[in-house]
Amino acid sequence: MSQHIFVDLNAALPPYAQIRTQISSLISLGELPAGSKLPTVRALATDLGVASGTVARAYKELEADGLVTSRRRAGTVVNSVPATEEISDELIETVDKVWRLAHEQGIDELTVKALVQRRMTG
Amino acid sequence: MDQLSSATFGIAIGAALIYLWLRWVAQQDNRPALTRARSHSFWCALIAFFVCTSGSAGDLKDTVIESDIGVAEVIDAINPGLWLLLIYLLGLYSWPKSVTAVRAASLEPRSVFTPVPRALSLIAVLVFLGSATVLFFIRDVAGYRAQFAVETFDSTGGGTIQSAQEGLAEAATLIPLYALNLASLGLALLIAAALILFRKPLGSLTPHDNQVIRAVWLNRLFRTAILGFAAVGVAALQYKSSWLLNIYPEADTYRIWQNAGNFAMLLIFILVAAWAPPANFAKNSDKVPASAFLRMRENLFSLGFITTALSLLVLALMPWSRQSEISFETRPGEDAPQVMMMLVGFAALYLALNAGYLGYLHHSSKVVHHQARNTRNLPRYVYVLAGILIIGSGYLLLNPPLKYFWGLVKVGPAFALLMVLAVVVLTAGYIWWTRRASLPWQVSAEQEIWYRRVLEFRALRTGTAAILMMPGWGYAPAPYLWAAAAIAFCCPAVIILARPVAKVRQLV
Repeated sequence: MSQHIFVDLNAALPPYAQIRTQISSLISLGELPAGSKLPTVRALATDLGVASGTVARAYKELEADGLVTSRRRAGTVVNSVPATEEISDELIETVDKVWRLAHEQGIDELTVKALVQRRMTG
Repeated sequence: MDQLSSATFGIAIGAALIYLWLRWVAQQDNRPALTRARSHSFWCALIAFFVCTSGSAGDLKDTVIESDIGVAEVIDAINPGLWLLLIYLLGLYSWPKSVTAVRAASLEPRSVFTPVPRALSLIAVLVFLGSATVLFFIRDVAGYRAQFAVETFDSTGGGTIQSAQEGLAEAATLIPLYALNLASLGLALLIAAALILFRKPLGSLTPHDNQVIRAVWLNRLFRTAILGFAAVGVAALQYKSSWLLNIYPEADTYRIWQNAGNFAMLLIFILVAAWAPPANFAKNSDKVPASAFLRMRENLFSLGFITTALSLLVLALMPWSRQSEISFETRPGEDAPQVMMMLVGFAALYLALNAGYLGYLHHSSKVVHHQARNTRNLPRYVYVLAGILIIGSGYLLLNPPLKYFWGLVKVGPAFALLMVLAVVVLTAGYIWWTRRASLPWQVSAEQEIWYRRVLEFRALRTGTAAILMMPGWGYAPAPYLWAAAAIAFCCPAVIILARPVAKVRQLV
């Protein structure tokens, strides 16, 4: 099952930052293991309906963070990153609680993500 | 300039109508988005196929008589490529634009060119190069001038008649047009493929389904383009064959070129027809179609395809079918008995192949022989329509409206009735058998009825088409009858018979 990313054009965070944050999170959580390839800039841009430059900027920043390496022939490949700190049970439980609360109040996944992103940018 | 403006006007009207139709298909709100997208893609490809292949490259040699090429000839040459591109443009821009601000994409490793069907594109390149090579081999065709009928009398009152003959343009005039035809098709293919690859994803579809839909569009585009490329090569081969027949009427050299064209086209057509587009759309996670019905449906499609292809292949291989195409010396209607027997043979072969397979199914389902068969007639209007077409065709066989032709040879009424009756009896016999044979699948009564009715409908359309072709092929080339027969033969059962919904098994 391949991973999916989302772009919300109405969100406060610009699209390139949304792409970068989501890919970065997936790498940190181990959902995208070292050595796995990412789609080409143009393919991802076409599917997301955004300009190629938007995806290119996200990839460039990921490369600057040392998370991926872009090569002409091999494409964009995920680097091996140091193991992330163990996520505490308390944090997982809190996130589960937030998720449950959002579900009870009829708030969708993207709004929850936007709330978290707003906290990051704020 | 008048020709150019009338052609542009025709294209504009046609394009507007096609756009409206595609837009309507894409916007039927009562159906799921994926169903609409698949239907929209299918209609676009179907229209492109018919429009692109209707202006055949073979017509070029008939339109160019003089050595100078005018606007009309150039329009004729670029017509298939122009229409192919236009239809795909209309198709791509007739899907309602997504207004959603939230877009999703998969992180699966891929490039923009991943949906391109590699094998099909390789075949397209080979067929394109093959057709271009054929153009090289026809460069020696010198053509010949048109000849009017001349009647000369000598002093004793005796006379000689020189029959009229249509002219044939020389290769130096036709090769640029064939090349233009081929190049415009190639260019249209490249532009349409690029548009499909780079267009935004369709709204309301998942990223996976969007990728598959792209692959489906490309598959159909390549298949249509391959047929277009092949048509140019075959037209060039037929052109050389016509010239050889004129300069060496006694020799069989022309047959080599003619047969090469016919067989190549048949092979490519079968190959392209069998190359189904991908269908790996994301399935509903909680529903799985009943496997028995799915197997039965697959079986029905395979049976239809194989028996039709085999019957057409045998028809093409029959010596009379090839001989009658360029037989100028026979009088109109002289070949009709042979042609009629050939058509009866075609219908009989198709029905026998299907009946034989049904016999095999009947034999392999002995356990359910005692069970009652679920059958139902087709809608009454289908029988009425078939009856009208058969009676009309029979009437034309007995009273051909071709008296102005010199020396028309009419078929004997008894023979004509015998031939028509033979097809009717064979079809009726086959229909009787479709209602009696046991089926090995554990399907619902509604699904069983659907299977039998589709077989019955196919038999009816084959028999009707064979009878319709009798006057059209036997007496003189009659485009309207040929078109009516082709429509009857190709009429899909889904237009008449709604496909039953598969019973679903709920996964817990």
